[in-house]
Amino acid sequence: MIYGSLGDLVIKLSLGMYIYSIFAIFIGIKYQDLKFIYSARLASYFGTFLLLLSTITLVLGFVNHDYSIQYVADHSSNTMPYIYTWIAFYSGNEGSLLFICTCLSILLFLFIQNKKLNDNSINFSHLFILLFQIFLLISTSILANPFTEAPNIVQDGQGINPLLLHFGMFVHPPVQMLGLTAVVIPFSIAIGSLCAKNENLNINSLRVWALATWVILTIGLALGSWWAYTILGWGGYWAWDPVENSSLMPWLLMTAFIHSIMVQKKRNMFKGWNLFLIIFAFFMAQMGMFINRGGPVPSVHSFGSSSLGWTFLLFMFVSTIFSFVFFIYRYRSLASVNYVQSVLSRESLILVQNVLFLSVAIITLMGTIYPVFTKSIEDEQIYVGREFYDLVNAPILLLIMIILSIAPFVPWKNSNISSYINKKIIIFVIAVLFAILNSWIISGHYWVTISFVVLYFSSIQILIEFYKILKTSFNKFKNLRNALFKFLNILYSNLSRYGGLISHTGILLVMLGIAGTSFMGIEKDFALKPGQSGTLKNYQFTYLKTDITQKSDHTNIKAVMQIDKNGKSLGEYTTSKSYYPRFDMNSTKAGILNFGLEDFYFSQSVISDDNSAVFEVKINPLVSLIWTGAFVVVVGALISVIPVYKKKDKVKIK
Amino acid sequence: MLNLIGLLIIIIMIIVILLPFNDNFWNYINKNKTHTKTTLIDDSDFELDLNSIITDYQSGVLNDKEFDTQVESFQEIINKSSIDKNARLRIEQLLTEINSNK
Amino acid sequence: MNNYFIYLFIIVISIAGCFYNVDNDLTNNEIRLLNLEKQIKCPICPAETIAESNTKVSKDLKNFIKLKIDEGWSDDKIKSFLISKYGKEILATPQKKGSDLFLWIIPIIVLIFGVFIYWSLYKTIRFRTKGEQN
Repeated sequence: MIYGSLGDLVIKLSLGMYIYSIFAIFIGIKYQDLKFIYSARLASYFGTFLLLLSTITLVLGFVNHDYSIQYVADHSSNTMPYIYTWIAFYSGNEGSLLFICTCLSILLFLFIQNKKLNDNSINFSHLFILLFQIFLLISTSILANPFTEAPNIVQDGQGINPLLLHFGMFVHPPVQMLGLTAVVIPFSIAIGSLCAKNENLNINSLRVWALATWVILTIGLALGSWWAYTILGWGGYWAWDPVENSSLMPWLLMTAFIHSIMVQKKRNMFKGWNLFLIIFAFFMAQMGMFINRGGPVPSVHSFGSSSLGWTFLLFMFVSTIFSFVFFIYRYRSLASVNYVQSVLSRESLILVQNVLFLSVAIITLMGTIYPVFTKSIEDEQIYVGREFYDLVNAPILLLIMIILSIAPFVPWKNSNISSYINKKIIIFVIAVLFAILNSWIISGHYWVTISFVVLYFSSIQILIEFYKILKTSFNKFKNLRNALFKFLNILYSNLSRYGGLISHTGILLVMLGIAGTSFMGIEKDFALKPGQSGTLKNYQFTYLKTDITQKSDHTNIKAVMQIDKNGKSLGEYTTSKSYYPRFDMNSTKAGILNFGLEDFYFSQSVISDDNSAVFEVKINPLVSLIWTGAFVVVVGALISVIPVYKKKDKVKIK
Repeated sequence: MLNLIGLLIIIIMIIVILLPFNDNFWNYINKNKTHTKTTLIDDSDFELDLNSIITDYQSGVLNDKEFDTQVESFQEIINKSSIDKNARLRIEQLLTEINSNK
Repeated sequence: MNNYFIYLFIIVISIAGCFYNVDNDLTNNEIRLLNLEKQIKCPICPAETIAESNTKVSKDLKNFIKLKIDEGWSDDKIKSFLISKYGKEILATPQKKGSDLFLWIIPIIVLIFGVFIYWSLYKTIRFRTKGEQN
């Protein structure tokens, strides 16, 4: 089978294309020769095609069990479920690198579509994206080539990590990797415009790509949390593991960024700050890729190839240092005309939010790389567990949420604090009353109450705004149909705002879910013999039996529980553990029962020979709000990104 | 077999790279492009201010009286200043809309 | 004048709300166990506490801690014992003393730095002068 050699050849040819592309752009810019620019773009398009071809050959290698390719032998087996052979290629280090290169080539393809040839900020941006692409391709084809030939062909491969045999494997890794890679696009747009002396940093293009990157990162994070929740067996969705942190940190910075570029758009300020943020965001994204590749920071997630990690680290430092030096060099050209005039103004609050997000990112970064410090200084690797992050980051995140409920409803430029309080006090009181009422019904915790207050405070203001617009529309048009048209028109002309408000509501729902699970949740271990029961809050459960089935590559131990709630029987539910001797690893499938907002979660931790077992039982209140909220966030962001077609004056030039 | 495929791809690569330097091709793609000079709406500061006032009113930050006061003082300012013609037209249009809403 | 009554009302309600907590159904010992689990790292895992890990070593450690809590050991005694057996690396939450104190100080430094950033951007000097309306 020729998959291996074909794939290898095609990767190297694509590298050639991209190297040519860089030279062509360079000549094109230097001599203002548009033919070279066009040639460079064609070469980039062809590079995309070649990388797609290469990826397809790797996938076919997996699907056809071509064990002449070492990578295929290492990450698949004859017994693994067929459908997983289609996605196994991105489960390991080398293959995921190829995947990232292909993703970047597709993003590049989309980026240079329909862009003017003589637009130098685009051309410079193209150049920087290519630099990153070439670095990734060299790392892949030379240091971590997925098509490396196996010295001797085995009959059966090693198999795929059993934890990856889950629906989440189809969606989370590709989206997450795409998100981390995508950060290079807004970064390149910003730096590229700076090179081309484009004063406003190509703000419209920058905004769209920043939002798109942010949406992808958000989806990646949400999918990862959900996957962890269903497969890891401890009933939680976020453990502040180094790799989880490394995907969170770019997200935090991008969140800050998409707000501060709004200030640049509306008030022509914060350009230098924006550049700093996006450089830092790209740094974090590369940090994410570095931690993922293994190296000094151990994690459950990492691929574990240490030499490649250092290459990434080197590129990360070089690119960041270069960017900062260039930033300082061009700093004067970014100077603002306007400045923040008042503490209670939208730009001021966005700045505060930015600083807070930056703080969370830095604190998380310090905690994540702390083991590296302690190892080099004291030769002890101190791991920083989730308690630290929960304690330190939670108040900051709460503060951000509070600002979230204030800032969208405060004007730009300046505002009077006492007149603001006068206007909003009634709304705040109503929000507090509703929240307390809620807490009496759901029997809450004061953190949850606070989250409710913030949610209601924000939502009431949003509803009032919609009501005012409706009223305006109905005042103008007596006819119902015309009035509704006017209403929709007003919304449509301000889509970025209303999409943003929807996303904000989604975030508040997520926060509520997190508060509920963190502060109202209960967990306890129960040691039960078959036939014995346990009670936790208003749930009663009886351990019925255990079925053990032997499959070809794993042993499946399934425990059956009868679950009752409030005395009423809900039926029999199972939780299972699969032991894979080849990996010496357990994969758990927890029993999760969902009751609207609450989850009843149970998994077995130990089963003894006499079939007595220890069960971890957990009640997660409000957890569904996390997944629902994440969905709302994404919907809102997509609404925001929809391009609004304004009337452009078109002048025809012969 | 592999060598043939490789050779084929390399040939296509070279063709793709050299295409723009062929005069016929270059004229062909330029002929179909109508060079449109698109000027996106250039929000002058004044337009921004008026839009801000409107958004604040719609989102409840300003009540009716405050809104009227702000629009009045805004009108005074722009009557005294020199603004780009197109921007002035758009501002006047917005102001007419506001007035007709009352 | 009206506003002051509203402020007072809010403060009273808020304080009252802070004392309202859900009944936990868990005994003190059980709560202590849950908290301690989060503070002890699983010795053989790369990056998990015994609360998350499903390895046998973690389960055994959980049982050990449960036993000692029931015997009346204090949290500090349990942790000191584990440190003497496994070394300082067994702790997942760095101690608030010694070299690990550094980690706890970082958030404070970061926030002070944040205030500094806000202040310096707030007072950004204008490089070009342009008549500022309004």
